[in-house]
Amino acid sequence: MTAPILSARRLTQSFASRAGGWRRRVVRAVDNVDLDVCEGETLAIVGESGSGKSSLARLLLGLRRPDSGQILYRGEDFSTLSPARRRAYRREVQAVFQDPAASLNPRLRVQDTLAHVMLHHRLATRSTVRDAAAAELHAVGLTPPDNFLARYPHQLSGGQQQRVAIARAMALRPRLIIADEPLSSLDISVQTQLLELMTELQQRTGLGFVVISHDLGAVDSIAHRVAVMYRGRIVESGEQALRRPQHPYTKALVNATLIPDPRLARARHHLAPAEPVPSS
Amino acid sequence: MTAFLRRIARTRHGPIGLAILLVLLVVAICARWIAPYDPKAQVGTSLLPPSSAHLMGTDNIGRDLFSLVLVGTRASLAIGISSAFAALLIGGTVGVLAGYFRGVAEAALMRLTELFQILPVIVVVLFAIALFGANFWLLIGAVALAIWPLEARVIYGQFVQLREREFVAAAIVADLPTSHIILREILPNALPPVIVQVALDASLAILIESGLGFLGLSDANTVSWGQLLFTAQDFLDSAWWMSVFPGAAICLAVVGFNMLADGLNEVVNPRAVRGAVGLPA
Amino acid sequence: MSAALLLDVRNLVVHLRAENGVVRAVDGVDLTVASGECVGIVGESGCGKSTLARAVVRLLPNVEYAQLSGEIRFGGIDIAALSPAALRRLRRSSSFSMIFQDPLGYLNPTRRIGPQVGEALSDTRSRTETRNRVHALLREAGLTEPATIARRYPHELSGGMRQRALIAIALASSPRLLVADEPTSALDATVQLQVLATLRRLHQERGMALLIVTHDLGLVAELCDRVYVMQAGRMLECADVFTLFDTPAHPYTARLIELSARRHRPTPQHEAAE
Repeated sequence: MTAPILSARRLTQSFASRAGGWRRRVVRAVDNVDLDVCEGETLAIVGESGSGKSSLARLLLGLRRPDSGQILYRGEDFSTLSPARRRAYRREVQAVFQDPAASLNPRLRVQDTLAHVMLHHRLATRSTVRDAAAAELHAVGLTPPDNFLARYPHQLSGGQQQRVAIARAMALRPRLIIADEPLSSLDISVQTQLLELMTELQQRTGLGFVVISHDLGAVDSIAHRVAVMYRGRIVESGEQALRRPQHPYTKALVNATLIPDPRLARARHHLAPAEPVPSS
Repeated sequence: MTAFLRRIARTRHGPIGLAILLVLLVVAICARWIAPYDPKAQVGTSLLPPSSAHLMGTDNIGRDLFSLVLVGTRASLAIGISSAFAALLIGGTVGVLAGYFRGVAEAALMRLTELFQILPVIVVVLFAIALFGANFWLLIGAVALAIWPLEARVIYGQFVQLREREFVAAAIVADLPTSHIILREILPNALPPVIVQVALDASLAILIESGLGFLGLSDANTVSWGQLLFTAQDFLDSAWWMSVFPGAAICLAVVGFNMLADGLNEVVNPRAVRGAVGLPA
Repeated sequence: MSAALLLDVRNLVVHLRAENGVVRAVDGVDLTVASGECVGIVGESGCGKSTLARAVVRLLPNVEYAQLSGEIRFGGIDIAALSPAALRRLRRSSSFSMIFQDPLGYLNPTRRIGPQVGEALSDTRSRTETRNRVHALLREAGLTEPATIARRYPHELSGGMRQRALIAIALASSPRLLVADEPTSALDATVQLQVLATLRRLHQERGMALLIVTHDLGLVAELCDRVYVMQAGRMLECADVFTLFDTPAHPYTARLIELSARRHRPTPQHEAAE
């Protein structure tokens, strides 16, 4: 692990919420978060809904402005980046989103989705763009690429759509991909294939991942480091965060995963109280 | 395009609307040749009731009303369609800008839209005509000015939804230029309900034009349905045909555009029509 | 066994209307649920499990299917052939209810929870009696402050509480079978465990049969006695839950189990138990 490519320093973002009546409440979605993502590592950010993990992802992607705190790209404050450095950031840090159907423009063919990106960044010319797009599809396991280039997103399965989204991100030769729940809408067999693809891409290109997820099991197989988020804060992080949890919330989270083994699952019924008080 | 027409033809009201408008369009183009008489010439006694010689009777100065209605189709349709598209141009621009950019631009443009929405159309047009005199192009502009807020709101609504979608975020992350994101990523996805709105607005424009004509505010040199109604006012009790036939023509065109809009809506948004049983999928 | 058979589905075929042609969502399926049994149907997305579940409780809108054939016997009555009126009567008389993955879609957003549970009660009673029944149902569904919850609107509740409200509505007709389609997939892990505990308690206390439809083998392992594995509209196998996990008969099942197991690491508690 080398120097951090992306860091957060005391990052805070609040939203005004109206939930539960007319009074406006301010919710701190991201609350004083410090984070470093090093080149080539896979960092998983886990937490339940409302923990602020997706808000954090959007901040790291520069899609929202923080209320306070800084984001550092290779040590430089994001808000004072020169245009050239900002372009470099936009090339080096890419994104994959949760719902693959929604993250591809429904009116663009696969080849156009890829071509727009490649042409804009001068990674291909009009004459070479088709072959370049085919090569990207090949690299994410969509073979033969000719079967996929002319298709629209709705003509692909969920797993194929997510592969196209990964291909679009990979086309820019990024050093870091921020993936917000990239697996949660997919079947377990497809999830496994995508996890394998991510590992393979990492080994081949040395790129890093930030994987945002609520699914501890999915994340555990690829993450070098895990950060656990709860109510906007990172309550625990490290290589052993899920294996040897220290924080009570992490423990609760780890214990709440369902066990795909009937004997172990039922043995647990005696350990845990049958029905905890419903949370508010 | 043919596939699109075929899909409209399979909807409930679309084919009827399409047929009505096609007939009107043909009439508008070929009016000079279909019309049995010269619409501007005195061809009979004034105020003749409908007969086989004059299908819709004659007007107060002896012109053949049937020929007048046929020729009037051209002006009415032209004003309807062109002001709907002019409104799309104005409203589209405002809606796109307000919908994509947040903050001050969004607030200012939408307040402007609301201002125009509450402005009484008739007064605006009266004002314009007082300044520039009645002519065809001014009329189109005035009607467009009255209806563009509708288009702006539809496009704005679409953009506000779509700008939050993940494929837009993906385009931003890929550093694609803003113009590309607006025109290539969002706009094509925003268009379907806008097309429906344009069809509805065309019928609205025809109604407004008729209203203006009825008040004598339309271009006196061009025959239009509204203008025919204006002359008919004085003869309401003596010559019913002078108001009934142009009125029916207006009605037909409005129904045609509305049915087309219905059909378009069904094509564009099949769920809204088919979802008769209230179970979410 | 057959005497206590609550639900007996034979050779069910459901073809759904799709944009181009029909989809054979359920393609000749047999399914039984005994009284008081907890049965799971597992499969990946698109295997037809949700269509099957909705067909079994006659909740498929007519416009959605092109063909529906086969027998669905509930307590001896063939409900596939029932008229809408007879079906309504059956629904009100301790027969079957259903809960769904997304409770928000099945609650009226403009009405408070209390009246929505109240109107599901089968017979008319006095106002206080209804209120007490509603509160009892909400409490039974695991909502500890029924009086407060009854006054809330759906959007004011958390996901877990909404699912419990839906369970309360489902319980109102004292069903002998509760069909649950991905009941906890939209919930956070900690909440999921609590809702499952509630379902287990209702299953045990009321002797209510459960038919759980899910993609999650963990959920099946947690709750079910007997499991059907479904793929592409057909049943691949059916076995007792322990047998299924120990010796899966079909390679597809074996692969699903292997993938799920690989996903799951021993939790600290199990490490301690070792």
